[in-house]
Amino acid sequence: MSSQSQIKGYTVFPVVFEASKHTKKALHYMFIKKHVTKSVPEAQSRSLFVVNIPVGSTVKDVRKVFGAVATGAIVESLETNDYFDERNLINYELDIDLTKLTNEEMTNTEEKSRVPVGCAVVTFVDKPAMNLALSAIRKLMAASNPKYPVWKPEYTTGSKRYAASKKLDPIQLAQQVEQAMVEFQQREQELKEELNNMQSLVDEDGFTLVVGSHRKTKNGILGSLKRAADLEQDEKLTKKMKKKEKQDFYRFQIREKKKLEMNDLLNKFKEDQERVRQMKEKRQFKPL
Amino acid sequence: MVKRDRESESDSDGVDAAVQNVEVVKRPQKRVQLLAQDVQAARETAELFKSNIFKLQIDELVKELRLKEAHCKLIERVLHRLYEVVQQIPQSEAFSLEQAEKHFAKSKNKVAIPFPDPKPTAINYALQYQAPSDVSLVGSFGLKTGIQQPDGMAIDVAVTMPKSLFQPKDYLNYKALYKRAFYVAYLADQLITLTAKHHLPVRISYEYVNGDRLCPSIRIDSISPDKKHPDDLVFQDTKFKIRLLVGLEYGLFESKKLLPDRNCIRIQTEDELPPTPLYNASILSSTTYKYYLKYLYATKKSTEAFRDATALGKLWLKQHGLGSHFNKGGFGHFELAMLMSALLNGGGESGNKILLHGYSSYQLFKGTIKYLATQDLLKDGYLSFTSTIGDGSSVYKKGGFNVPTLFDKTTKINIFWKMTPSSYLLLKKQAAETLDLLNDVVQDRFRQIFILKNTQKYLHYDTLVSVPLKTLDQHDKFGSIERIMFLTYENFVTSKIYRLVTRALGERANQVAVSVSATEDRWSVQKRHPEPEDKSVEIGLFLNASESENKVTKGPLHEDEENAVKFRSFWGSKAQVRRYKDGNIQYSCLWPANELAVVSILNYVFELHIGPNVRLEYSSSKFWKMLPVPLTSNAVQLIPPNFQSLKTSYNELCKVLNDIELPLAIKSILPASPALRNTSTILPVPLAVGNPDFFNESIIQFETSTKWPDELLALEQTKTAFLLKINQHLAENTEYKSYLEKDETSVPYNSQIKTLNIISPDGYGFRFYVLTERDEVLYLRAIENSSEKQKKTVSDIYLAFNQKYMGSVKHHRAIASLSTHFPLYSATVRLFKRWLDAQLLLSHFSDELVELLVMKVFVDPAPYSVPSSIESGFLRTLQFLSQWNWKEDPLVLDLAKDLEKSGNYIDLISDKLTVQSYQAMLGNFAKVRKEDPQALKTQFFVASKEDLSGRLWSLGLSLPIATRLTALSKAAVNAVSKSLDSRTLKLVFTPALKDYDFVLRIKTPTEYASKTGLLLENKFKNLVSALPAVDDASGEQDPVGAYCRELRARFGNVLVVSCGKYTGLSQNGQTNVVAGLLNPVVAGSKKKFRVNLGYDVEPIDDDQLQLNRAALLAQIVHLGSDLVESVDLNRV
Repeated sequence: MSSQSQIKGYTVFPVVFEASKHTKKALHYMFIKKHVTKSVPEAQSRSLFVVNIPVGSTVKDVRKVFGAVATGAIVESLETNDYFDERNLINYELDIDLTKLTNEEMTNTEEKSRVPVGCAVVTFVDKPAMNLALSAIRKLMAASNPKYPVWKPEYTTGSKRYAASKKLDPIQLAQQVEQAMVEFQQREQELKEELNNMQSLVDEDGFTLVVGSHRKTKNGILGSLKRAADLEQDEKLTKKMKKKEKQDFYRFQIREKKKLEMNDLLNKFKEDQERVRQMKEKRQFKPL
Repeated sequence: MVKRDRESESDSDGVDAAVQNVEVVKRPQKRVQLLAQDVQAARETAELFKSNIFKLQIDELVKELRLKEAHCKLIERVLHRLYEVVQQIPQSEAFSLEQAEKHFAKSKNKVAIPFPDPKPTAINYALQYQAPSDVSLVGSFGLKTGIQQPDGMAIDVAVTMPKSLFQPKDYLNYKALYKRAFYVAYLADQLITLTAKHHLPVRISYEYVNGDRLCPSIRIDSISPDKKHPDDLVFQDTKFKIRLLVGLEYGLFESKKLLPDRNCIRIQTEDELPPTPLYNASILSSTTYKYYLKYLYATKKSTEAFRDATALGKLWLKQHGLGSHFNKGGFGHFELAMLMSALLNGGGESGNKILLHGYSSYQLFKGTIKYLATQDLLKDGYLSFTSTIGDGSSVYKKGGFNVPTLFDKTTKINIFWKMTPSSYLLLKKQAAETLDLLNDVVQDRFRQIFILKNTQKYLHYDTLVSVPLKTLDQHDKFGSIERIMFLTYENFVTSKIYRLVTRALGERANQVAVSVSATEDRWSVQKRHPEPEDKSVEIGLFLNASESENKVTKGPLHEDEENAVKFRSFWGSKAQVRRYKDGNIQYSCLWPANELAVVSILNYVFELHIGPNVRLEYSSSKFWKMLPVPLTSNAVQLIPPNFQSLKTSYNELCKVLNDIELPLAIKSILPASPALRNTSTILPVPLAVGNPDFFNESIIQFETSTKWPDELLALEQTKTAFLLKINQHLAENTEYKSYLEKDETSVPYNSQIKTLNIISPDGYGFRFYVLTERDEVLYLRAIENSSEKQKKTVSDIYLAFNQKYMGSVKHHRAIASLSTHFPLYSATVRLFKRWLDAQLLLSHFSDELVELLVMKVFVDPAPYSVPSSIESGFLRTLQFLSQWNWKEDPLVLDLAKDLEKSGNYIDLISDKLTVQSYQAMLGNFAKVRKEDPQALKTQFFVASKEDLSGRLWSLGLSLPIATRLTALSKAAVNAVSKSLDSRTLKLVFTPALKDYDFVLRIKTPTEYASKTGLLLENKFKNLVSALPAVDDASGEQDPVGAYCRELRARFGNVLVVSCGKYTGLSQNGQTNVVAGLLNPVVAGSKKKFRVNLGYDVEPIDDDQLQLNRAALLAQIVHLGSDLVESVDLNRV
């Protein structure tokens, strides 16, 4: 344990995990700092940025802890990003949105702010509340015999947690699905109209976009255009290849062909030699 | 052309030089010279060997096998000195038996005379030593065909007794053998004294030549003396040992008298005297040590590649545990070389040559193997040859003797005299398997043919039954007639057991091998014969998987009186008359359901025909007992009926689903669940909701339509809408209970996947995913649209999708058909999963990967054969994993392979692994390893025609887990190779918890234990109450899995979390462990302060952080709370 109170401009905020039947009392360290972004400059900020928040934290937990530090520091909301990657396939360094990647036009335009993994943004009811919390924590760290607040998470644990029913309510789910579908169709409709508008638009070269009925989105059409172009090129290439031409008419052709075959054979032989040499290095010829 | 196949060091130099010269004249560039030479080599090898690489590999191997020059020099000096010593041995007087014994009793070495049984009591001829008429090197060292062997090579020196010591009739009644025994003893006695004097520090002992009890020899091993004299010749380091074979002059006895069908031991009996083939052959072969050396030498001279071919052959025999020794089948280097020589002189039915002198070493080897594999030398016919040098001929003759026969007409010896029908069939089988490998044109089989060893009995056979020799108690049946026929009690007993077991098992066993447990042939010169030991008879069985577990043995029809009598007398009271469905009334035996049929049968016939005290020890039944027993039945069946009931229920449900009216039609419903392909560890039991695999997954594919949204998450919503429709329909119109669940892990980043869980009226659970033809398009589009940085992660998303929706279905289809094709696959894979779970590994592997790993030993069994018992499958899987160097070798499976043998033409043309796809897979592997040479990302590369990428099922595996699997299988193979009893087996199934940093002992509430569908160890079936019906199974499942998954999800970047997948498999069904291993990189390092480290840290100084272990553990334990019973900290 360390009595470090500041690290890289962050205030260290230790909380206590109480001893349990199997574990000793332990200190957990959070690192906090005023939350400042481009849209919210320091003067307006009433949030704290918290690094290393305990797993599964809820707004209630946070409220309790800040309440214990300073009575007036009332927390309004909490935004966290827990590390949760069961199959070790998620990359928290990257922002991957499957909607955006599969159909860019369908993406919601509003950009979500992303909290880094293991961090949280705690928003207080007002600026004084936040300042109160921050100074109380600093005071606590400076005290000679500090009494750190206890962190007692709210979530259910043990068999209750892991044997909870996962059954989804069909009515609720149906509503949610319907809602999502309606939104999707609206967006689609908008795009269709946009596309129709493009159809009537004449560009500077005097062309208009031809819109078929089979694919519903702009991307669908432009994408297929692009692919068709690729295909055309390929076809040209294959045509060139297929050009009727006798391969073994002239002597030089036969000679060339033989030479090629010979080289092939030789290359393979060389490769094999190399492989055997490698195997020998690995002592693979020692009978086990 | 033909002559120029081998290494070009000596002989082909001239030719190559000539070619070079021609080239030089034409185009005087250096590069071209090289080219011409190489082209020639490349061309030739492709023709004379299987392929270039095979030839190069063989060349290297042969080089590797050569004896070391320095060792040979040293041993030559030793042999010279030994020769001098032998020459100095003085002649003895002509002793009577008493005098001889007295002579040795007086001498200081106290040597005993190694008389064969029966020991002579009175003889009317003299025993004497006279200087040998010849001392010469014989055997493979003499022939210079010896190869390096890990346990050292034996150098045979033949000492020929002079003719003057014998009478023409001495071949009768052991006379010659007694004389030789004295000769051997005298020689040994003198050698002990003289070698010490001549600075040759050795230990002298007796040894039976190849286990032949009639033929003792002197074994000489080097020792290093305490005080080494400068002249002392010590050859311990070479690992060579010398055998002095005491032989007789060639042609000493009239060989006609010693033909295999003659009797040469006369005893008093009323019956006709039986032939004594073993005795006759033993005496005759003592006269031919030098003769056959000359014969083989002549072959070697006339056939350039003979030497290398025999080296290959010798290695092949060694790797298959075969040898000249009686116990090793009686077919060793000598027999192989003789066969090869005979085949070089003919061997066809009209005497046509099977092998040609110009063949390459590979061609000679393959030709011989092919002959062994395809020509029957037992029943159909035999090979007869003459060993006259320069005038050899050999011809295959019809009409066998029911003993394996390679008959030398010149010497009248059957070269295969030490072989039994059983050992011959075994050799034939192994040759046939090797021939298959040699004929494989797709994969490189060099390693399986020559490098991998198949000498462990428990891996070689399907089942090994051992019977302690003393419990057999057949001494009273071993009379004088039996003694002269079989020579030893052991031969007699093994032959009796062989006949009994083959008769009793009939169709159930493809092959039976009976032998006495290996013993040391060497013994002290102060004893007449080796001390009797506690030996046991080992019965190795190759089972016929489709027959072995048949619970009924059918006999002759009721009317067939003659055969009925035989049947009744063999089966005793078990033989009953039964009427069958087809109207036949047949004699039959019924075997109990709760035991392996093979075990029941052997126990019964041994008790009936051998005696009540006989004790049989099986390896099989122990393994079967490790399989989880379901509540429903404890019968031992290869494929339990539980699987069939589940399938029936599934098919009914599919019918119901197909009939539902939906806006878009269902195109197909395809299963992707272990229990539906017979591979689930825990058998499906109705309403056993506590089983983590209660729900069997399946993919519903809808018809193609342009109406599917062109965006992934919206598409998921549409799929959910379909599932909701089905859900509603089932609730309104059927007895099925169903509900929807979220699946957030199957495809990372796709948070909208829903599944439909259905519980059928008969109590089985099914889970459905929806697939449309747009899914794959969209995932692929996502890869296309992703940025360079994102590409890897997005590709992994696609792989995860492919796993869940497409790969799983293809895999299911492949495994389902193979699991019916290989009857033992199901049990093997279930046991292997059980083992993985016992070792806390199963939850790290996908079912599919485990199934493919086990499938390896079935579709690509070399150097073994296809497993036909649970233990052979299980142990060979472990053996394979312990040897698999996955950093360098891909695993490529030919999943259609054995269907080819089924003769199904469609399978044959459509599915077989082709050279192209094989090369493609190798190419993929090379690519993967090029990017990731240390196997940090991809460890196991397992490819098949279903998945050319080889990465599909090992996605998400980690280096520590892969390494641990290898280490654990090594440890298990090691433990089992020492002894295969119940204790070892238990040990193999016990996890090494000390290896983890911390271990949480888990105890689940009682209610879960009763719902897993498993019969607990101390409970009886009739005391178990029926399981209650449920509506919502999700709340009833074993909570440990979910706990472990959450720990993995939250702390997976800091530690590896392992747990038992099936709590129900613990002794009381309630205990489990969650074990954690800290990632050493994270745990041991200090990190600069960074916002998104992603794990619990504590500050240590101004700007550095380290892992906060105490807080980490506190959170882990807090999440588990009441599940955690205790915490063991090993290293935290």
